[in-house]
This record gives sequence, structure tokens and C-alpha cells, in this order.
Amino acid sequence: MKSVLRVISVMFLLCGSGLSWARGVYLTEEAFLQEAFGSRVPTAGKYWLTEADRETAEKILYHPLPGLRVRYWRQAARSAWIFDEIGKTEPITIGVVVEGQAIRQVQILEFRESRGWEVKYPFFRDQFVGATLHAPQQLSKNIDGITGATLSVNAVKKVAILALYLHEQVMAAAKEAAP
Amino acid sequence: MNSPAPSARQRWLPWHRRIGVLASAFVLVIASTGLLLNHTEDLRLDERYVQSPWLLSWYGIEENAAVQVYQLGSLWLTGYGETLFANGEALVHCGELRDVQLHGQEVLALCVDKGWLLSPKGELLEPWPTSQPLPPEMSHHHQRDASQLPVQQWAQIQSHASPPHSLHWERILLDLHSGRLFGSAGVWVFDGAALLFIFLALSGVWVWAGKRKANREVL
Repeated sequence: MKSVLRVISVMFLLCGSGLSWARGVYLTEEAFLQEAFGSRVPTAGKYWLTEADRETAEKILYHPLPGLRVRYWRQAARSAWIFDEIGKTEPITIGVVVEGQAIRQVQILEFRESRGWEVKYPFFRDQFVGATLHAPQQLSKNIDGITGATLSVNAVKKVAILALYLHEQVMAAAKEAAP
Repeated sequence: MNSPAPSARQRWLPWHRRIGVLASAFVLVIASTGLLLNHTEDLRLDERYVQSPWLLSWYGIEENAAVQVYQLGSLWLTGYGETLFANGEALVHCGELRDVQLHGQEVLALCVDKGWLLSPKGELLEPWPTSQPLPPEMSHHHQRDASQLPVQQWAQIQSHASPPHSLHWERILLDLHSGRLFGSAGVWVFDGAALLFIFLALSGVWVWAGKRKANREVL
């Protein structure tokens, strides 16, 4: 009986400890921006959301986007965005780089939950490369989910769509402002 | 004369009994909660709300939440019921308002888990980047006593507070049924109980099959 209890205790300890390594900072903001822009990282800009932007963002995220403005980085036709989006209960910090009209890169900067961390792997993130925005606020590519990580997958997809939408707005505004 | 060595089945039977006793408490909890949950609609479990303070407290629902009040000129920032209010208007989720500081021309509200940048008028601008460390809490220079908050704002804030009927008995039973009532450790313990049930079922059938075979041989 004692040996059975010992085995069960060890199994629980191993399972518990195995979960803790899933959380953490995978990529700092600085490293993400350097990957996106090289050594010359542009200064962060602030995009002020219009009422239409807020309505669209709410349709994409299924909740209001808090705040009146969003931070972004832009160099020519390339922009980078960082958002926190809740997976199941905790926010996932997600970085998206858009160039032209397509996603160039998706990165998971920080993951705070005990499950769903598989979204950090390139096999999942690389699916977004080349995706564009299709009306009404959908990705042009089908993204395969990950069993057991549905909520994390949905969070990344929503942020990718939001980044594409806001990139369009920023580029349109820049074009209007250009002499 | 020596008695024959016990068979494998005879060696496992005591374990079946011991684990049965160990699992019996779990069987009672899971079967009882399962029975009740099967009749959620008939019993209206999703419409009956928990009133017990200790059970509400277990879920982190506080009836009389603490209030944090800060003032910068005409802007009053209040933390209450895990919400940040600006001049009585609910802005955003804020675990506990720890400090309010000026940040250039803007205002930084430091919640326990996040920072928020606001305009001097109290409009929510953007979240403080999670990649950057939050500024340290200062001397709470702008903090005020809750009694100084304008009355109309307090009335507005209270109307936004979490309703007393926010936890129903179906939730409690679901969490007890799964072990989640005791946190993530509880889930693992109940998973372990499920493994014990599987062992009991398999060992029980195995011992029974052995007895049947032995009875046939005797006949």
C-alpha cells in the first residue's frame, strides 16, 4: 500500500511540475521589434481609434478594445503590433508584423497560462505568414487548430485579424497625410 | 500440509478492497453531485444563488469590497469591485488600484496586475505595455479617503458594483463534481480518483471472472 501511495504521489508531483514550464516570456518586446525591423527599430507611434475602428475591433475580438489609441511601429510598408488577448483566463502577449497587406510574422511574446502554450511553436505560427484580410474581418487562409489549445489559437487568430485591419487604417492615414 | 500459494487474483483482491474504501468518499461526492446536476433545470440550480459569505469569499466575491480613491485636480479615480472608475464612470477591469501617478501629460493608474494610461480628463487611452516594468508605487501622493469622494460619483459606482446574485448553485456543484472547487490540485486529485475507479472496475471484473472459472471447475 505504501509503495502504491508513493508512486501516485510522485506522479502528481511530476504532473504539477511539468505544467509550470509552459508559462513565461518567450521573446521580449525589444527582441521582437529587432526581428521585425533589424537594428533600426522605429519609434512607437500611436493610432487613435475612430468609432468605426472601435466597432470593428469589437466584432473581431468579441469584446471592446480598451482604450482610445493603440501603439504600433511602422517603417515604410511594414508595421508591428503587440496586443494582450485573453486565452482562457490570462492574457497572451502576441506580436504581429504586417507588410504590404499580408502577415509577415506572428510571435508569442509571453504566455501566462498552464495550457495552450503550443501556439508558440513555428508549426502553428507559420500558418499565418502570407495571410491577408478578407471581408468581413476574416483571414484569407485557414489556420489549423491545436487540440487542447482552442482558446489560445482563437486569441492568436483574433489578434492577427486585428493587426491586419489596423495596418490598413494606418497605411491609409499615412497615404492621406503624405504630401 | 502446506496450503497452496495464493493465485494472482487472490493477491489482488485485498488491494481491490483497500482501494474501494479509499475511493468510496469520491464515489459519494461524484455520484451525489452528478445526480443533482442531472436535474439542474427541475431543481433550478442555475437560478438559485449562493448567499453564504464564506462560500462567496472562497470564490473571491467580496460583498463589501475595499475602495481606493485618488484625486488629480478635477479627476477622481476610484478602484472598487475590481473596476477602475473615472469620475464615476466605469472604465476597465482593475484588480486593485495601487497608485495613481502623473506620466508626462497623462495619468498612469497602477492596478495590481496592470497599468493604464489615461488622459487628464479620465479617458482610457491604452494599457501600459506589459513588456515594460511598471513604475514603482510612489508615496500615494494623490490618494484620498473614500469619504472625500463626491456623493454622486459614489452612487454611480455602487450601481456598477457586482450584483449580489453572481454565484449560483449549479456552479458550485459543477466545481465540486470536477474537483475544481479546490483549485487545480483538486482537479488532479479527482483525476486520480477516476483512475482508482477504473482500477476497481477492471480488478473487480477480473476477480469475479476468476471466481466463476473456479466454481465451474469445482462443479
